[in-house]
Amino acid sequence: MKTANRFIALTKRILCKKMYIALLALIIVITGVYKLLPAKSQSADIKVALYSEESSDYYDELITYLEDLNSIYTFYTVDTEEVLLKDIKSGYAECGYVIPEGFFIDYALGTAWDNPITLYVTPASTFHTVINETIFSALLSVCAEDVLLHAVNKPAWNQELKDGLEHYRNSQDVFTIADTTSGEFTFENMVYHIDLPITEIVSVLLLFAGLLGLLLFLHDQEKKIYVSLPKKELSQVKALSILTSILPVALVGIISLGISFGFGLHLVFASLVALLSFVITMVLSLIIRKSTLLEKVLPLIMLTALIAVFIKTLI
Amino acid sequence: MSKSKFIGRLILTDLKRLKNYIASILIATLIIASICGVAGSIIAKNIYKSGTKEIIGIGYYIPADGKEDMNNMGISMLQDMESMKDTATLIQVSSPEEGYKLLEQEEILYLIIVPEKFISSIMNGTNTPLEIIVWDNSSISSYIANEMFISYAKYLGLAQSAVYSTIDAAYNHGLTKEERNPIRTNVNLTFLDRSLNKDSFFEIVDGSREGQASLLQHYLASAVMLSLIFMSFVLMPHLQGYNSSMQIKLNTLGLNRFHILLSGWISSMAGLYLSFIPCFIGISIITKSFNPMGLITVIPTIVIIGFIISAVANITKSIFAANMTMLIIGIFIAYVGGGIMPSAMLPSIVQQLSNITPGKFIIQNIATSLFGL
Repeated sequence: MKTANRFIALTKRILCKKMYIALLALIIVITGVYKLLPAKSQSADIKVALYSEESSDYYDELITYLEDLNSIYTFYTVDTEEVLLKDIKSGYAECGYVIPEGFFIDYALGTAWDNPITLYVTPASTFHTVINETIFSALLSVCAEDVLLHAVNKPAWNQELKDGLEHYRNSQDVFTIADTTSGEFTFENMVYHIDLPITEIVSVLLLFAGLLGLLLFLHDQEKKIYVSLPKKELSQVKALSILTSILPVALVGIISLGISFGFGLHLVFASLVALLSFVITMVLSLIIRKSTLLEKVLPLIMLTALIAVFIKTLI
Repeated sequence: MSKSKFIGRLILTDLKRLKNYIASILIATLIIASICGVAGSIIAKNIYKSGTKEIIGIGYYIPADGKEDMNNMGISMLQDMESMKDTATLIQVSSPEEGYKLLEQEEILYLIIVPEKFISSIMNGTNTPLEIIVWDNSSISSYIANEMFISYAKYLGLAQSAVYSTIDAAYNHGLTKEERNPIRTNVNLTFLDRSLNKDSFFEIVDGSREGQASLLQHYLASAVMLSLIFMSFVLMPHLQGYNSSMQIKLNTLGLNRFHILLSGWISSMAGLYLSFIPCFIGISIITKSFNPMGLITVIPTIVIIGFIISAVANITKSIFAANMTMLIIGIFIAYVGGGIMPSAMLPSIVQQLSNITPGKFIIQNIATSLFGL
């Protein structure tokens, strides 16, 4: 009976703490956000961003060429290099090409090594070497006339060379490869739900709740509230203080996980984590005997736990 | 004694009291900086997950037509192309039948059967068809390989068109064979250069860089920022050291909360600077780069973080509340400033917030100070 009374009193006390209420509210808010956010749909196609520092007929021709091409890649233009970089960094684009001022002429003259295209990639980019082939075959196609006139270097022949090139490139007499693939490749849209690490958050909060319970107990002990209690009962109060702190979070966490992922293995998991948090806190209580020390260490423990959770979701 | 002298004495007293915390600051720096530093380097390595790409097998058959040297030269040119190295493995087969068998076994996706005198037929314009057999023409790999082949063919077709056009023009202008040949060769070589030497016409730049800093440098700077912010766990008892009776006494001397904040700010800066030095030395040793100017350029960061810590110490009532507030503020500043995830990956509203919160500036400032960027 005494134990039950202590349990009720300690539960009431912990539920009056603002920080504790905030803790419970956080789990509910996260669950709400998770459930209410609509599923997002994103095309899985391979996007390639293009930006040119010069606005010329060459660039327009290049874009038209790439748009008309039955390519597996989706080429799109952006207005600034900043937007292009943002698209690369965010993973929206596979890679991005920045064509510098005067590149097309330099390419035709063979001096573009001095004024090269910048190809932006990230460690996640995989296809840029093959995309290069499409881009450069398009570039050569756009600049072929100028390359030829420069190579022959006989201005009097220019018109003949242009006409000849135009004739042959459209004829069946030159080398070509027939498209072996069947029509346009269709990328399936990826439909996904924003994946909030609710399980991990609940786990961290359970540990935090346990430590908070221990902190409250240490505060009480330092105020000599339990001075008349025998050692055995003191241990019982400590365990109850930690337990009453963990249980409401565990309960809300279990409901939250149930709503988010269904009432299955996650519930067993949450119960085990609650038990583990209790054990860890009890063990820590043997080392940390002063509230001032726990006040200093608790944020560090939380920081380490948060970092561990973040890295786990990343890897 | 004038008020300014009391302020001076308060500041000096606070700085003297800080001496008791030197060992704690250094130990805490070691622990927190190690945790944040290891986390930063793990994030830097994993934030952009490398995509997986299937390397496809391409079989080819070259007939014994007495022109093997020329055909092999063509194949080696193909093999040397970056796109081919990156995407496919070329496998020579001794007969078309062996190639068909490999196709059936799905060892290769494409089988190229080179006809007799293929290269010379391109040169003389006969263009004997090249047979390419594809096992599965519906997968993404086959589409990518197909597009690559079409691009190669485009280079070849354009070069041919240019050569034929040049020969026609040369004929029309009555040039002899000796006069025509060098022009034709030059056109050939020029188109070969524009197609095969494309690697020199572009430069690959790591788009994951955050400003001047590489991803690793960025995350190490972020780790140092977090270490400095969380140094508050050590500094809080020092900053909240004035109990109410002491505060009343200070009030009677004309010193109010602002003066206490100011004094706390100055001693926080001293503590933070002390904490920055081991981070600076450690990272300089690890990266083998030493930028002595960094010890001066980091001061704005020390000033900002020092102010935040001092303000939180003054606003909150207990050390625990102050530490938890600093934990939340630290994570918020790092997140919004792109110190946890790259800014471009954050929601647009958070990206806008990053311009008005100090995280972005602090990370850049620390990166500049540590790496001399």
